[in-house]
Amino acid sequence: MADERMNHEESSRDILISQLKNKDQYINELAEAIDQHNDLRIYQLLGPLRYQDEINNAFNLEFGDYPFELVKDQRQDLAHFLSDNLIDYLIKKFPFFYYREVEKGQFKVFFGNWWDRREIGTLDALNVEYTLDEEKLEKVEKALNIDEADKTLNSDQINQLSAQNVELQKTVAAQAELEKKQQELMEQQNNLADKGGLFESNKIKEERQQIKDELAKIAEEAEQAAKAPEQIRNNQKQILVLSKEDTTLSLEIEALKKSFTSYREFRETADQLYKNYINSLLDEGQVKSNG
Amino acid sequence: MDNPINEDKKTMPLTSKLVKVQSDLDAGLDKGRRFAELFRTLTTTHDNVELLDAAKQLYAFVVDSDAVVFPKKFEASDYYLIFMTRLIELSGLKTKLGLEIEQKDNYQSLFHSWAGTSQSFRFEMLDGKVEYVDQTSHQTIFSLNLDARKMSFDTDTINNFYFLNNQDDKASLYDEIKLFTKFGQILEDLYGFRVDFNMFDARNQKVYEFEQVGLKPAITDELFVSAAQNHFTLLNAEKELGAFLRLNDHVIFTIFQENPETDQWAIQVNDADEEVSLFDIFKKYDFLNEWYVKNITDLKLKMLF
Repeated sequence: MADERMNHEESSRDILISQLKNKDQYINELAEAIDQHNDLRIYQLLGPLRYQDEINNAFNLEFGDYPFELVKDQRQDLAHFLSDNLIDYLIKKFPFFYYREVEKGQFKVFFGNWWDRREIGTLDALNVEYTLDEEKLEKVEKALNIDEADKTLNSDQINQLSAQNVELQKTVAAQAELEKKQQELMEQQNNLADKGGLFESNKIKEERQQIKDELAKIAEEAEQAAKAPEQIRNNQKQILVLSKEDTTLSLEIEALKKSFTSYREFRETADQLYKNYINSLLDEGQVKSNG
Repeated sequence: MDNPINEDKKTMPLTSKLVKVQSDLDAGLDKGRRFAELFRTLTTTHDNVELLDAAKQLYAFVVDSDAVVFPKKFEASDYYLIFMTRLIELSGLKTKLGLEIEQKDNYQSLFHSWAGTSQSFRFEMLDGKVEYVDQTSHQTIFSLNLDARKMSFDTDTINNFYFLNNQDDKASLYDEIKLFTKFGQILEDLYGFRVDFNMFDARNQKVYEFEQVGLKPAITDELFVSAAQNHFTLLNAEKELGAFLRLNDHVIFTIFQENPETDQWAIQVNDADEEVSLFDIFKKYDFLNEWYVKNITDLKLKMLF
């Protein structure tokens, strides 16, 4: 036979049609879930494997492992859609986090509503996940662990800089005194020069050297004093940066303590967002069907 | 019409000069009479329109002529003082303001005194403007122009007088500000004056713009830190670039970028009864006062005119 193609026309057509029907059904169910704002169902359809894995082992993978691939170009719109209820939930759980939608379905997370609050990460509404800035959170944890009264993350450094400024302030104040002394020494030097001559005595030589040394020392001190004002300003700037960070951290800690008993509890809640949120959706459904 | 003097000249050349003197005398006395009438109106009328009108006319009135010189006069700016005194009186305001007359050579000077203090104020002409000046410090409290219907409080005075120099008798100072701003409000309500109340404006819509463009972030950072030390949280403004404080009694203090294009920054103070001005806030909260004084060059307020 010339035609050696596999001759299963009937059955391969059936398979194809059944697969397309399955996809069609998937899309229909997803559309229906969206229409009813049934977010639990949407999440089941969005990631059935994860749902089976983290929520219900008996969950049936009727549409395969990753059916959402089929409509993945809808990611952004769906993320935007799901973020409505998700953020309502998150506001209750993490009242100190604020969200800004930077692009459709993409959210930046800010810690607090105060001046220059820190951007602490992003929210992925499709995967129900925070990506938090570990470096920034590490500082919160560190600050939280300080249990000495009146001590903050930066208090040692601030005190050090303040003390330095007090000293520098003294240098500035002593500047006039320094100039006066310099003037006197220079006059003495001039007087000695008059006394000089060919047969200069050793005593005068010694005296002259002594004045020279003293003047050099004063010149050095004067140079330091001249630099002091700028150094004071720089220190003040640094103190402000450090106090600002302390203030921000103290507000963050205060906010955390209002909602969580420990830093660990906060992190566990934040890290297991998917599980917690889906379970809360299940509970809601329970309440609804009971009611 | 024919000139009567020329006619006299023709007919009676010998006495024409005397007639001229006589007519100048008449004119001078008429002027004096007109002056007395205006002065009576200024001092006795109960009509607001007449009062302002008399003050404006007297300010520009030259009562002396070649023929008649009056020995007892006021300086032009003193009519402003009389006007202010009468308007405050007519409005029934309780005040510690007193009117003092001091004899000076050919002039009598008018002053305002303030009961319980050694302070005195008077209107002075400075650079073509009439200014109400504190006589001890020689600081201008406000400028007044009755013709142009304008009044404005001076930013430099506010800064020097109420922030940079330590004043002993603060209570009197605040009472004075209250009266002077009330005077401005009356000018606004009665005569439609344009008044720049500067830092004393308590209306919510008032935008206290800074003279400088732009604002260093460090200034807001400082406010954030010192507010926190005083148990207030400087909150992030949502709608614009800026921040706000919820102070006691539901007063809201906002510092914000008013115009992103020009980077013009400003402060606004909001309270339900529109009774609290920026000045009141600074004087009520030490940390805000300190913050203002520390950054007084950057935060200096722009005058409207």
